[in-house]
Amino acid sequence: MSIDLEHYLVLSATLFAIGLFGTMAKRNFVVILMSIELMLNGVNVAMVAFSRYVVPGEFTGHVFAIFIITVAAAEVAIGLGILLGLFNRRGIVDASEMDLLKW
Amino acid sequence: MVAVAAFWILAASAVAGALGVVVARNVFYAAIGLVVSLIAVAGLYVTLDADFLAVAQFMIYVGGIAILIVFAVMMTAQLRRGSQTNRLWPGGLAIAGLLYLSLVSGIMQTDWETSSGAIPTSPMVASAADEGVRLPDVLFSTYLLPFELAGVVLLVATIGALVIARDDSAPSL
Repeated sequence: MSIDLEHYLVLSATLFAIGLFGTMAKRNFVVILMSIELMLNGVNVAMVAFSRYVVPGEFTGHVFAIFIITVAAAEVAIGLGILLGLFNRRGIVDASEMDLLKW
Repeated sequence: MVAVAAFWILAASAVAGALGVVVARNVFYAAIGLVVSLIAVAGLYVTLDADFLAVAQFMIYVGGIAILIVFAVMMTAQLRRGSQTNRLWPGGLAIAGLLYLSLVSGIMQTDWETSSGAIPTSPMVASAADEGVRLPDVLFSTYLLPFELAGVVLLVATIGALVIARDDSAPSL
């Protein structure tokens, strides 16, 4: 038995679904950020697998993965900045207590 | 055979780490699960002949983002409350499960047109006789403008994070 594209895609879907569940169901802001990282990682696995199995030698998927990693780093920096700002000013890390923009 | 075993071990580690992130009650254990999952994904990139991405994943995610998250966990220090689920978690589980099932059925039913072309040994190191494209050839020609824009995104994110996270009581510059 060999490893095909489907194996990587199912793994990618698994990581994405776990991250989606964590993003929707968790209260702690840090854990929500970690779950978003899991989702981005799942997408990256799919990108690289497509690049390897569908167009080997062209690296299109690798380029997409590099940009996703870049944006993920920027997103984590901003997210943790918001977290520290909220914790310093109001002392909360619980996403359901963050209601400054709630009506 | 080695590649098959490597895939299953790495895939199992990635999924186990990801489950640890959402299941662990302790935020610090969740962070450790995230690190395990990220390292396993870096190994999966090696099995996909993406050496550069594997190293980038290790350095940026494991070395940068994971350490940043661990710092944030320690600075906010609400470990006693742990990582709770909110009131709507059954709905979230249902939505994630439905999405997962539809994705898997779609993946299984699609007839993927995989290419059996030659696999380059490494995207970064090409031998002198190798006439094929390499990763930098693509990144610095076709995708040059997005590459430059990514630099702008990083600059804006750095300045924005500094402004947002700054302590108001600290003396201003």
